[in-house]
Amino acid sequence: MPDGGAPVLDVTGLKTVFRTRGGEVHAVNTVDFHLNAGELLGVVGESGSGKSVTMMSLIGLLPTPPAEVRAGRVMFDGRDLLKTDDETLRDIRGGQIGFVFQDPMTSLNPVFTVGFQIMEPLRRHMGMGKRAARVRAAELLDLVGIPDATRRLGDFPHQFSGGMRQRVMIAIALACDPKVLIADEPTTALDVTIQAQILELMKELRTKLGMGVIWITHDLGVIAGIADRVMVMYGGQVVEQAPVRELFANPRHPYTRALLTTVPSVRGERVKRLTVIEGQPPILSQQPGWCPFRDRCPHRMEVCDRLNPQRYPVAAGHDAACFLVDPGLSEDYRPRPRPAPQPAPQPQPLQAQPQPRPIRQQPDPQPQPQPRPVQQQPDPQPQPQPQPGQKPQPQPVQQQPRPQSQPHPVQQQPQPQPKPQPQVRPTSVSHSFTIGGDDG
Amino acid sequence: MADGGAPPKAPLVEVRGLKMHFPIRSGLLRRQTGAVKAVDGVDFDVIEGETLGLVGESGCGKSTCGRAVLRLYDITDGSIRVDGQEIGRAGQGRLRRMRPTMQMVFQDPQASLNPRMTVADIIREPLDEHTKMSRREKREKVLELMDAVGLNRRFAGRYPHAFSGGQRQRIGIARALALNPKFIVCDEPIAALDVSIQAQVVNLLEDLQEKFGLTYLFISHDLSMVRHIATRVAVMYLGRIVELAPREALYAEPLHPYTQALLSAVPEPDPLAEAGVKRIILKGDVPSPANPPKGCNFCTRCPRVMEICREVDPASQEVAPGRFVACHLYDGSPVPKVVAGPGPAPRSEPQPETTTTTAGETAAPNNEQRLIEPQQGERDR
Repeated sequence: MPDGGAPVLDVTGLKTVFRTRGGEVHAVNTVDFHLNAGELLGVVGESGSGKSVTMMSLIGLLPTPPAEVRAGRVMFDGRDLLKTDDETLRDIRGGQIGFVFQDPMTSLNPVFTVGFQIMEPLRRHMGMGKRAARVRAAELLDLVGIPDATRRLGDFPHQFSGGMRQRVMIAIALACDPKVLIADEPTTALDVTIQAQILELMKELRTKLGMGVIWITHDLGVIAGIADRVMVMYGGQVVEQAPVRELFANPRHPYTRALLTTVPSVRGERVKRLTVIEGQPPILSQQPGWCPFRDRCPHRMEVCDRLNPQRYPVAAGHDAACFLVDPGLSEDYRPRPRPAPQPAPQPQPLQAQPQPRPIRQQPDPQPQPQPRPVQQQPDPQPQPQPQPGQKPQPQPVQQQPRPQSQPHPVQQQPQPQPKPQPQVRPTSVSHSFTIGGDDG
Repeated sequence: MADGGAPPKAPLVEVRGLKMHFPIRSGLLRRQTGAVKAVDGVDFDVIEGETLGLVGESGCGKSTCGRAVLRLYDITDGSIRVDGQEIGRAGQGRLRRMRPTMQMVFQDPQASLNPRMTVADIIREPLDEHTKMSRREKREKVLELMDAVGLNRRFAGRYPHAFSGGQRQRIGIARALALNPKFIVCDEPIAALDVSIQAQVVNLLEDLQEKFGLTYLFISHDLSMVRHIATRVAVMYLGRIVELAPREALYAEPLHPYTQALLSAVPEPDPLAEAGVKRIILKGDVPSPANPPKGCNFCTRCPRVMEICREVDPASQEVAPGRFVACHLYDGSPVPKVVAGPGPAPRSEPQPETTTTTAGETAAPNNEQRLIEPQQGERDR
């Protein structure tokens, strides 16, 4: 449950690069996020969006020759994980941060018994004796719902089925009462009925143990059922972040919207034809100075080629990295507010959304200066209207702006296009009006 | 809506009593000591122009079934008629002559394309094997096919590694189309692809079906995608088809307890609706197909298991027009109320008759059913 407490894990400006023979691949580009205590953060994205690499970078699990964490800060338990030495990191991994990997077939060691593998972290991190560890291991197996736990400690991984093996993996990850559990596609390799079992188990365990969980998946259905908050990744960046119901009711980034409509459902209405996101996900051979989604985006604008959008707040706890929601940009860019399909349970002013960007409404006295540079200094101008809610501040979510945003102010001054409404229309508006139609 | 409205056409493919057992050999002499009954007595028809979805969990035999239907295996027993010709026992020569009518799209586009052949070579290979076209004709045909599946003609000289997963799958589809087949088995064609690419490939398959009048057997574990593409759906469990029904009927009101559990287990990509989903959580795992349980294959996990289920294997019966179920719950009474209404029929219990498990606590400790039902969420996307 989101109890709003201090974040247990706070990541800022994380950047990871792979050096390959074909050049560098910028897998993670300036990713900022945090995980609150006891919260389940869902991370959604396609393969190559950088979701796994982000999590592996946090705890130094990437092999360093090809991979390199270039920048960032990962605050956990009062220290920066990227700066800690290997020995301490080893204590934290498996101790205070547990990990569950995608494939239960390959992540268990086939030549050791399951009992041995559960006892390993207990003895290593908790300093337990053999006997005590054995008792605790049996408890853990029991906790994750494996019947006849004590006897099964002596079994080898191949004697368990896929779902059971994933339970064993979860037991290992939970062994030392971690504060944070990182689960990387834990149910992807499993069948739906087994997946349902594991999801139930996770919900149960979370209420019982109260740890923070990061759940990586590409399955929006899983996220909808289990997460408190969702972070959508694309092209190595966080493109949108919101509480789960808010995200599904009111997605703001074109990618999120598209993603939500491409997935057919087994219930509800059947669509005649699936919505398609044309094109391929990008391979980032350089730090993108443009929006990574631009090639597939139905609302591509001229700015999208020039700048990489930062994350603009759009509602309480909800932000999206898209110029469409940039409060500094003209009204015309903005998609029509989506008729929220369900009354979102959030008390926040979803409906209030459209108005809080009044900045442009008045025939602005000073043409340029406000929009972007605002981020840097607490500006005076754009406040004129009494805005409901907290959104209008165009600051980026995280304090420090991503490096690409440095150029923004610079380009801003001369930049003529995005602001004067009249010119804007012909170029982009035609697209932007399809938005509402697409998903309605 | 393809089902219901279309007049009943002749089946293009008729499968009766199909069995595919793989021998288990052991000991010094490698004598056969058992068999993995991957497909164990399956009957179905695929009607011309339709898409029959074949769903089930891993290991239930759906892929084996698809391959067996194309006679990529020497089947253990049963008959297969494709386009009026019996191929269940046909020899290789006759099969070869039949091949142009029936083709396959494989799951893993990476593994099913030869990395040393260019795209043009790959797509042309069936033409080399089965036709007497001239070089120029073949070249023209290859380019046409590339257009049809949405590949840029300029890429004809490239190798598979230069393409992304979705594009590779398009190459595989173009190859399957080369000989103008009538029937294509699509074996998990989208399982290896990303969500946003899956939709592209599914739409392509639908377009091609319309354009060339194809008939598909669409094998998948993705129930929501099958709901999208299939006309009728067959659900497999441990080598058997437990339920076969028109799509709307099956998804609105699944009859077999396994289908019910399977559908309820699919997570809903909408938090509000998700909260209202009644979920049946099955206990335990699928038994080994080498040693299936006595009686009904599903009796070890069935939440509504009865005594008879552990003794007698239920036969498939038609409980409503076009709806086949293999379950003792429907013995005797041809469920009258199952008229697949289009509306979101509440997932009611299909039969008020004796449902709760009464006997046999020993054999199955797994027979209680957990229903998680908060308020009914409505969705309307």
